Amino acid sequence: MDISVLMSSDEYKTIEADIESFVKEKLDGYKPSRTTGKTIHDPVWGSVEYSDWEMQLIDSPLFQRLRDIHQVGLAMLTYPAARHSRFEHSLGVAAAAKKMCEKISKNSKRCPFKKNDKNKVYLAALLHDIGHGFYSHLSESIYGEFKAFDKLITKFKRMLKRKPKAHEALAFIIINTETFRNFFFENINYPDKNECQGYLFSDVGKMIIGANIEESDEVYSFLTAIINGPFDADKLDYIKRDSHTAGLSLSYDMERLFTKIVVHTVQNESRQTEYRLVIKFNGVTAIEELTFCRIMLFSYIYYHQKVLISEAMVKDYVHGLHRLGIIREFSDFLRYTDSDILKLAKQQGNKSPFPKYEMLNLEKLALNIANRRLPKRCFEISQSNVENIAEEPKFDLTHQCQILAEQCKNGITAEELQSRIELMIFSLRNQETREDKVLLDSLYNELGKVTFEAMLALRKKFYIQLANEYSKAGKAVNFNMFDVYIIVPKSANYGEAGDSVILGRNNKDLLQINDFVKLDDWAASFNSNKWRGYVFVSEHIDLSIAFKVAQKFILKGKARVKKPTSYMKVDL
Amino acid sequence: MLTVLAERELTAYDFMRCLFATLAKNKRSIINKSAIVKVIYDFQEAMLRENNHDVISMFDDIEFRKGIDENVVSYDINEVINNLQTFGVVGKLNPTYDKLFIYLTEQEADEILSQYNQEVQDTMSLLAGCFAGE
Repeated sequence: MDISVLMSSDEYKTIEADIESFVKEKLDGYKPSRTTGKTIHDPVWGSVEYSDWEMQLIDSPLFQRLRDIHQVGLAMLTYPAARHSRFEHSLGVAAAAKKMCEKISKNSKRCPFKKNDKNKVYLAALLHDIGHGFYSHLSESIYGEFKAFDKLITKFKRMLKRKPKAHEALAFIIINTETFRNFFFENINYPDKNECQGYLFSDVGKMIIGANIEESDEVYSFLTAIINGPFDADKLDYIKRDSHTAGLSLSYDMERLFTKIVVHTVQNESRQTEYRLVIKFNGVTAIEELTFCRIMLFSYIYYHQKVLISEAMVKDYVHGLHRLGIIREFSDFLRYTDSDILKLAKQQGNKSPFPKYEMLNLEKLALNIANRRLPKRCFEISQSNVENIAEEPKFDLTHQCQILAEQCKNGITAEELQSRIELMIFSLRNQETREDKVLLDSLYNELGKVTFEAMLALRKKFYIQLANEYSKAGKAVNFNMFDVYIIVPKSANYGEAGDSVILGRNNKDLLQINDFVKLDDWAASFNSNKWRGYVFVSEHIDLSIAFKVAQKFILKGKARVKKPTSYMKVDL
Repeated sequence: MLTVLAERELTAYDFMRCLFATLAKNKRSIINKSAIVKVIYDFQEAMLRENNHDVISMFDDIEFRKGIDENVVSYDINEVINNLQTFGVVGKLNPTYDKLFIYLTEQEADEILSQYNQEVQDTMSLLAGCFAGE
């Protein structure tokens, strides 16, 4: 697939023009003065050497901007030391990529890197997060809901067969703008840059979004895998760094992983020769540990209830800024960084961001976020803390057999008999295996995967019910719909277990991680137990009334929460 | 001003819950987990060959990665299966058992299917038919 077709599409061009203006602002007047490399000390990777061209790029205002984007968004409100930024993470990914390249060269029979391949990998590692906006993944979940962006991602998917994450798509666009390319080739001492002007940034862009680099009948998937793959430099860095700063004792055997990675040559289905990054069979334990660490990070940090509620508050805030025209373009998500964004509320005046609904005071909201005055949890739901109320109709096998015997006596066609037996087997199996499982799917469908727009309507509905209960209890309604938050997240993905990246004992066959250990089943089972959905209300709201309304609103009388006081501070 | 999505198109989650509901409706309560991605991928490829754009657009939220040999991987489908497991739609009877059990009753399956238009339902019926040999 020719990437230039994608880049000349209307969907791409619309966003590119906006992003180009931002890149121009950032690079305007910057001329690198440094001509030497530097050693930078890092708590994860130790002393790392960066070459002259890397330092010229790192020194640029476009890259320095990452210093003010927190790596784990608002997790610092829960883990105060987790204040590290995308800047040090990007340096760390480059450090990890250097180490991977060095080990791959050492471990592989024949050095798979062609001239300047390693520099291309380091460049992609440094730039892989250049598309992140304020609060990292939080802002991408907001602009990802804009129609034009949704269309762009669909375009990527249809043309490249890759569905990049929103920040990866923005990174791709940034580094392929004319302004950035001109800046790079005119100012940065990148080795042999005149030879690679035509393809360098489309290759780096592909590596960032996870697409392979191909040349006639050869596929260099290992280059992409170092940046965006099952055990890429990004994961190697963020797992160490995020757990370290949060104070969590999570660790994987990095040395073992490095000694076991090699590039293996395979013929793919299109008869191309693919150079694939794999790990020898006896390195699979390192992959297990890596997966385990990721699961723990999701559970402890990214999906912590306080992190989820602070993110929900920021979503209200940023959508509010957007409705007021304070944030107008995609580039604004890049232009404003963490320390700027909460200051923008001052521009609200007395305008209502959501005129269809109640007034949302953005300045007050920003203050609450900054001072960590977070709403309280009044309702928590999980697979283990709910039970069905409605008695499920029991399937009576004896009775069903009697009916069938009667029908047989009176004459029944072979098709009807088959259909009846199939139904009986299905019903019996279903009853036996459902046990006390509660179907939470409709809950996720109605409350979890909805857009911000749809969620506003749901919160309004909840607010009306809560206000009614307040009135019934003779209490004054001293809140509005923006004091209520419904959060039903999806569980995290650990889908790499199906990739053929394990080199068998015969040094020939490639196996899936699942062939050794059912890693994804194990992860899914863990997730099922750890997953939680929540309703939060502002702290001045009566939690016991809010709990009753939430239970009715969410579970619709079909199920109830078991022992709620063991999960929440509610007085029932 | 940028326009915000009012609602999502057919997501990978919608796609898979609708497929499982159709399978339950067809009284297929047990399916081979390892076959799911390949069957869906082959179906998509067939639709691509037929240039059936309406159906192809239903795959917009699902990415496949083709490996060597017949191995096809889809992080999106795996993620949705994990989520559907969390939300009680499907599950495994024990960890080493490769089969996935669909917990939906006929009535629950009907309820899910009623949330999607006829075109989606027809496509899922076609796709569910591809699981016959699995």
